[in-house]
Amino acid sequence: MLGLGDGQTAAALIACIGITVIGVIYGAVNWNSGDSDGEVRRRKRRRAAARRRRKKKKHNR
Amino acid sequence: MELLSMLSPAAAAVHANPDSGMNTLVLGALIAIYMLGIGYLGYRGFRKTRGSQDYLLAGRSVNPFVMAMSYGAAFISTSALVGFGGIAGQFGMGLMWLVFMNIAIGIVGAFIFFGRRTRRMGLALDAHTFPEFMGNRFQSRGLKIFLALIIFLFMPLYSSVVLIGGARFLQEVMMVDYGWALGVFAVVVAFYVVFGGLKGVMYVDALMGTVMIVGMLSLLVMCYWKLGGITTAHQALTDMAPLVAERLPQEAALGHQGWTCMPRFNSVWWWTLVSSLMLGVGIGALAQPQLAVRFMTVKSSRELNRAVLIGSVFILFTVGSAYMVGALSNVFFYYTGHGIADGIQGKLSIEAAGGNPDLIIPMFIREALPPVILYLFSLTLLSAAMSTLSSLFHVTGSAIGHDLFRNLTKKQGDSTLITRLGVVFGIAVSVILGIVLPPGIIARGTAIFFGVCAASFLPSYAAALYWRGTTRAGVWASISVGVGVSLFGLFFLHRKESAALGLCRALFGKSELIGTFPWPYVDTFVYSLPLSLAALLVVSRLTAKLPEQHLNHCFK
Repeated sequence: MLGLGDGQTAAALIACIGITVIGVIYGAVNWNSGDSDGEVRRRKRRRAAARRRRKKKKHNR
Repeated sequence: MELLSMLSPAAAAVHANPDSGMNTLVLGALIAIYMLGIGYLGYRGFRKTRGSQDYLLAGRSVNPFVMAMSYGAAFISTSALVGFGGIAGQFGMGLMWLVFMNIAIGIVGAFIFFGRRTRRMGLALDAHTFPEFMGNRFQSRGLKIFLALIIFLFMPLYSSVVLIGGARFLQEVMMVDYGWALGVFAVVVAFYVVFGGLKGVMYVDALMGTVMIVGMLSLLVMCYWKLGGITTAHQALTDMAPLVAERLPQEAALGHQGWTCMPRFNSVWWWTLVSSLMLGVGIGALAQPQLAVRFMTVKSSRELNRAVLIGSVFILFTVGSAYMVGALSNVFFYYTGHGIADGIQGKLSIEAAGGNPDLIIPMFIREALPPVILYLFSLTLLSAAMSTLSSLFHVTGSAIGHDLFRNLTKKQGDSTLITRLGVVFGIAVSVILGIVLPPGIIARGTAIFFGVCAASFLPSYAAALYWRGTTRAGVWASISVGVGVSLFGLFFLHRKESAALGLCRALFGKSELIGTFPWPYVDTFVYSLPLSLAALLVVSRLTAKLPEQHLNHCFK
């Protein structure tokens, strides 16, 4: 394959290109995902506020 | 270690031939312009450095391109491009498995599985360095000091080799006095590390990484063009396989079967490739302090995701190109008759290089490719050396100033000044070591450092990120076993180091304790890492855990 001497070396080349493609796809797909610490804090605050609201509703019943 | 023997003859090989088309004045001007660019970026880093967070972690707000290129440039030194490229020229494309490990483990695995958690936990623990990260995670000032001491004792050895090698390279290509070259090289790197801190280092690394990727990619493209295309070049190299037994009987005995084949299973070269290079270098990179600290420089995991893309491409095009070109150079030297200096035609690469694999890549460029590639490659080599050197200086200075001095004297507050002094001290020690110590001791010291680092730090580092049950005693046990077994292996079992160090011969009259194949060729990493991990698991199970409140804080 591609003029190479054995399957193991061909596998090495394919593996290098393959893992690079995986890295590129992973980076591209997740380009805008992943939390900053500000977002994590804001999400935690929203969840805590929602829990307090639920508790209050339950208490009022 | 490699650079002392590599860059000087490499530069001589590049420069010596008057027919190479290389003009010293042109190269000198290019290097001068390059240095001015480096100086400017270092100055920018200096202007943007306000406190210790900026100096040590680049403000935790680095752009993903800068972070990925800096990581890659610090990771890939001249030894990877010229040294391992030459090994590929001697032994073939089996070395591409190391490229795979570098990308899979060193970039994709490291950024996704280690980077995210390191960043988060480092922020929660207010850690600015790798020793501080581990010390704060396990609530141990002693651990912080111990790790900083290991860095302080061993990293200047590695730094001295890179520094001296870079100066020798400048001496050869610019035809200047060695002392002057050493001074200029040390001052340029010192300037942007001392004043710019990690911001300066990473801005410059991004420039250097760009030069490296352009240089190596150009080299690969020109190589395939010169040899008639991808399949043609590969087939020509495959057809040369019978020459191994005929012309390289020593290499054939070691397991060499041809440049497009893997070495013979269970041969000396197979064990070296798999245990030392693929496992030792491929996995060992995870525990390098100067790389781990870069995970803490970005502001979110989004930047790390983006850096996976950039870093993967960087490694493939730099080291991947070097190893392919190294192997394919055999085709050029053996078949091509046009434009070759006397005595090279019809030889294999290692023969043309006079038995020194470090000369293969520079000779190929000089003989086969246009002068512009020579200039670009000279800048590429310089970039690889300076980027690795700056990361080593910075982490050594941080260990001395921020970790050791502050913890031993119990001083608090901003550590920028003391860290700058630590960097200056580390550079001075590196220069002095490089001048005073013989190259053999430096080389052995560096090998010890890498072997010890990987086996000692990696289990504890991984456990710190993922296992709440890791105890302080478990970490100490793991590091102690890792250091102890690695040192024992280097001094008494692994032939390459034990023969050179001589202690085994002095005590027992032989170069290694176990002469039965394959043990003299099995890298210490293969057994020291599992033993270090076992110690961590067993002792952690038997000793008291860290407080729950602290663990919740670490893993929030």
